[in-house]
Amino acid sequence: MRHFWFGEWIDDTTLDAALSTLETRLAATLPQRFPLDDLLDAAQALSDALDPGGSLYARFLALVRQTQPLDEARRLLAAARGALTREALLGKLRGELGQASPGAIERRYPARPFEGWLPMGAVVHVMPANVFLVSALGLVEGLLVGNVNLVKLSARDSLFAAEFAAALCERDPGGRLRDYMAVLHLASAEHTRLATLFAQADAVSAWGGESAMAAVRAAVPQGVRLVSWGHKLSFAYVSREALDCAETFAKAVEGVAIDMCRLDQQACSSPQTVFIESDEAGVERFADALAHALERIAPQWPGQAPEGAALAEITTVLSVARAEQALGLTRVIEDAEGGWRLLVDHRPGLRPSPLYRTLWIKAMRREEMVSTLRPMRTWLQTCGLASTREALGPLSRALFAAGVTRIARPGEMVDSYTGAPHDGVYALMQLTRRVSLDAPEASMGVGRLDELEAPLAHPALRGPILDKAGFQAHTDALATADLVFRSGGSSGKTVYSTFSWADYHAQMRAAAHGLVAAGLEPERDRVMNLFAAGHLYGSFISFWSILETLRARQLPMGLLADFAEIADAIVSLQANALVGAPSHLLGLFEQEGERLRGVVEKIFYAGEPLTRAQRARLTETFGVRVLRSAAYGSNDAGPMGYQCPYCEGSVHHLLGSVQQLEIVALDEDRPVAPGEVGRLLFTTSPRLRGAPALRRYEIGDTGRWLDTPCPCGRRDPRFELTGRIGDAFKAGGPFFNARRFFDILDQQLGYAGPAQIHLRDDEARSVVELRIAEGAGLSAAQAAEAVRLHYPEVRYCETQGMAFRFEVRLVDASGFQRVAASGKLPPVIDSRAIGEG
Amino acid sequence: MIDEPQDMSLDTTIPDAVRRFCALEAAYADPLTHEALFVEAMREIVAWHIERSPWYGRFACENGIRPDTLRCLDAVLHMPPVHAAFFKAHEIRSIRREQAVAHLTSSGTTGQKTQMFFDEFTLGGARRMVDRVMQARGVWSDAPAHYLVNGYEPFEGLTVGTSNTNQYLMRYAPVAETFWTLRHVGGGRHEFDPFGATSALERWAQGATPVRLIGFPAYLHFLLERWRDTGHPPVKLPPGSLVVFGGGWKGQADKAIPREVLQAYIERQLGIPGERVVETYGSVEHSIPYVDCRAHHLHQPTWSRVVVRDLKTLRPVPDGTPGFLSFVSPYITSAPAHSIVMGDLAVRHPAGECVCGDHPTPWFEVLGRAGMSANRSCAAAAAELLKGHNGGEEGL
Repeated sequence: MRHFWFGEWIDDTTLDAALSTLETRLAATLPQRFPLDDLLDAAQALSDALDPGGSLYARFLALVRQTQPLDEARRLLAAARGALTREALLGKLRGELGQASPGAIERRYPARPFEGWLPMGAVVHVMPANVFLVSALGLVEGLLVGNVNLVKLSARDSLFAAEFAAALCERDPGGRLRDYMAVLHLASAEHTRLATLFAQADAVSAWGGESAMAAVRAAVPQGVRLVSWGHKLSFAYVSREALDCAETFAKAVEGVAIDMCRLDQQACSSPQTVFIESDEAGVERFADALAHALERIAPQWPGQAPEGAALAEITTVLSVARAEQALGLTRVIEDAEGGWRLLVDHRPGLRPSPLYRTLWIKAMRREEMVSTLRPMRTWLQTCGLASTREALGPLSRALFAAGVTRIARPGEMVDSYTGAPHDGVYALMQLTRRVSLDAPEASMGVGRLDELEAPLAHPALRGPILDKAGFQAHTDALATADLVFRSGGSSGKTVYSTFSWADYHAQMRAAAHGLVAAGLEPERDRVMNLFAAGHLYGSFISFWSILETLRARQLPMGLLADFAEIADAIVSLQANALVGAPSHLLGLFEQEGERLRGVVEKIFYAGEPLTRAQRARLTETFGVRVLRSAAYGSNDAGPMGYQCPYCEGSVHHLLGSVQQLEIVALDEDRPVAPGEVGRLLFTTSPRLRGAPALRRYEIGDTGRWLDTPCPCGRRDPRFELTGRIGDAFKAGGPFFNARRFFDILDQQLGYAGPAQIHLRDDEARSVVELRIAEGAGLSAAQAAEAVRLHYPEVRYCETQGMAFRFEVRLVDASGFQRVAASGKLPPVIDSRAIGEG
Repeated sequence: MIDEPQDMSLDTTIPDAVRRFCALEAAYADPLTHEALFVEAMREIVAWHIERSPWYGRFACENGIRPDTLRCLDAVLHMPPVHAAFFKAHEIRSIRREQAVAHLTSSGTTGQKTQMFFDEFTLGGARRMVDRVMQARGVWSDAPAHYLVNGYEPFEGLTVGTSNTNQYLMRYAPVAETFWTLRHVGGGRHEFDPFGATSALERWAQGATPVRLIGFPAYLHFLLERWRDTGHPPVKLPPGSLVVFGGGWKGQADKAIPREVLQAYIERQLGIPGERVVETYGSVEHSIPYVDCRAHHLHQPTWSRVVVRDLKTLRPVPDGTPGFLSFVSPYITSAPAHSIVMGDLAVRHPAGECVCGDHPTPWFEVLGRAGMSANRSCAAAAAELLKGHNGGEEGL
């Protein structure tokens, strides 16, 4: 069994039958959405298994050992382990495609069309023999952007790559990845089979030397994208300024010596020639210094002695160079032990070295650099440049002009970084297509195409529920986090939430689509941001980022107490849309509403709910046309939901591109029955929230599913928020819920002002004091009567003589206790000695 | 000038032992028979080049080569050799330009074509040697023959080595008709013409005149492969027909097939028996001819010593050990190429290991280019492509 064919091991006799099904198979797989999260899980699990103590390590080491020395085999597996971590793969996606969700087709705000990085489709990877890491990582790269991958290995290659693919599938939580990979051992002479593969290819990614590449080029059908990763040539360059400065000179010598020793120059980025911007004497001086440095440095780097063809090549080159020494053209400096060789050559031009710590040393005149190097331009890759600050600009530009794609520090030529371009391109862009879609008018308001697609099935979530305390315990990296927000604080204890920049921006992007769904039109609205800023609070900056993502016009006002200043700006700058916190917005309209009528068309709020009466006040009295939640989100969990024009009250669509939602019962950890109110548990895609991971996080809100499809056509499920878990309190006997008090004021009396419950002790009794605003047209007695009438539990506690008292009190603005940072009005203030609820 | 003699007054008389050794008649003499003369001739030729080639004088000095120390075969074979690639990159002569009577061009690794120059003695000697080994192989014939040459059709200005070699091979039987398969299409470019080759062979198969196929084996392979692919029926070339291979699989190494396989196809598709397929090895940098015996083994002829050298030290290795193929011979007075390392890996076998029975000399098997591994060929490929696609370089 030599071939791994989409999850099954098959042998040569059944390969042709399998190949004949390829076309049908591709037609079935390609329209599916790729389960990227599953790939990341599987790759991380595989990385863990490749730990030297891991379950797979011994097996893979044995496979690589078939052709590689032990040290090299260990090095390759360590590199594979590092490259497969979630962090590395996400870094690659973000670095090369600018985002962690490559398959998303999103609007290019503020313009109308959508664009996305879609897989090429079927990618055939043509691998040279014995390149373990390249085969495995080439496959992973192809998967990362959602391609179906057909990896063609040499017929005599080991089973490493095939077993690698199998190991990845075994760790796939969703069981779908197998549809995206086949690894075949084919000889180059198996033309018919190769032709079958190429005939189905959307792209062919080929590695190898010139002749292998030419053969692939000839075999690939017209129009199929050929991505060629040919061999490259690198060199070091020491500028004359660097030669003049003792410190830079010493560093350059040291760096070149190290680059010569690392990987025995086997990397395409290893230097083969070092150019010295000097005369013959200067070149000789550098050579002597380098030889001196190598005596010390070479033994510090473990290496392989060349054998066979490599040794023959070195002997040939040295033999010719020694003969040329008698012509005065060269000087050979050799380690007595044969560990390294320096070949000073007084002729110009870049020369390939026979490697294994062999380097040409040549003079270069800066004015001739471009013309000297350009003939080799298609093979040039890295220049290890030793230069001073003054020369860096012109030298780098000239090197790039000559064809170099990468300039590195001497000593670090073979190093790279996550998301680095390769040979002048991002690999992932070569394996993707940039598609565009100009959608019909009816789809306006849709920001991401997959809002209209059935959600990708997720593997069932298991494990403990993460509560606020648990979340805090995970937020331990405050010192290293990119962004630290203060979260909540109503409880009096300062609580933090951290984000990386990448996660923050990805989540804001998702939230931006939600705001568009709610009715913001980035191409025409002029939006004032009235959220709270400062005090480590996240709402103002989040909406700043959201509006920036949308490229909408923004007026960054903030949550100011001076309503007149805000209104002046709204009127003079003609802000037609506001984003802000409900209690602040209501205050603004109470004071300045007359001026704002006819100017403010849209209000998007977040942080607190609006009561029905409050909504009516804004729409009917002040003529606000669009009044919707800007986002359902929090500082700790990020954006979780959005509203479409069909979402009434606190109904939201789940922000399915970011979050998974479970609703479990209030009193036990089981999924709720249809229509039953329960606790909301959010799980953020690990692609969009690295640390702290948010898995089954109990956000503190309660809600229930809406199981009818939304008329807007979006497939993100809908849920209704019904309150805070903290809205429930115990006083005297049964559970009460603050929301229910407020709903009665809203629905029975049309009260649109602020309301708050204060709990305090009075001797042995619990006092439930409902505070409402004076001057809002409602008396305390009216309010108390309505509550007693519509809240039977209140009546029951009072009449049954429990340790309970209910009161209503009219207060001015200072009688409401607000959260300093956000201006939010907590529904319940519990000042009892020992909280009961 | 370091590339040619500076002293105009130097005697041009060929040293006695060199002259006598190169004049030996028998193509395959037991090496022991003339060993003393060989050593003496080598001592003379080393002194000749040290005296005449300023470059070799310095090289010999730097590498401790002194004629007076060359007193036995072992000392001669241990003398540091020069790599053939050096002569590809540099024009180095032990004669003045005007003394040259011929030159062969070779493509160099760094782009420029360089030339090997021959004086009368060297050229005459080399030709005589080729004649003798070809006679020994039974290639000589008085009967006219048709020639299918898998080589570059000559045009004015073409001086690449192979055409010369092919033309030289056409002396061994009078020419009836000739067809060059790499047709000159103008501007110095050549194209392989399989249709012309096919119709020539079909026509010649009808007659009685023997056919001789010479030149690059790759193109004969392509032609026969084409026939098989298109169902072209085999032909039976007239008795006495012959194939002589030279020039290797230049630039087509990845398409090379084993010699035995190609021979079988030749026998089946052209009707030429295996023993009439002649294998040769030679190069511009070393003109001694190496021609196979009936068992297809490349034997050392009387006038040279085949040495296989260590991959690291270039010192001779025992028979059976792979290493660099190299040759030592006093035949050349025009350039210091008397001890030369080739770009091929080979293994040498003692005379007794060949079943042919009529060649009392060791023989060698070429194992392939002494190049780099496929994985590291990036740099080399770059150099290779820059060099462009020149003609062949190996000759007899």
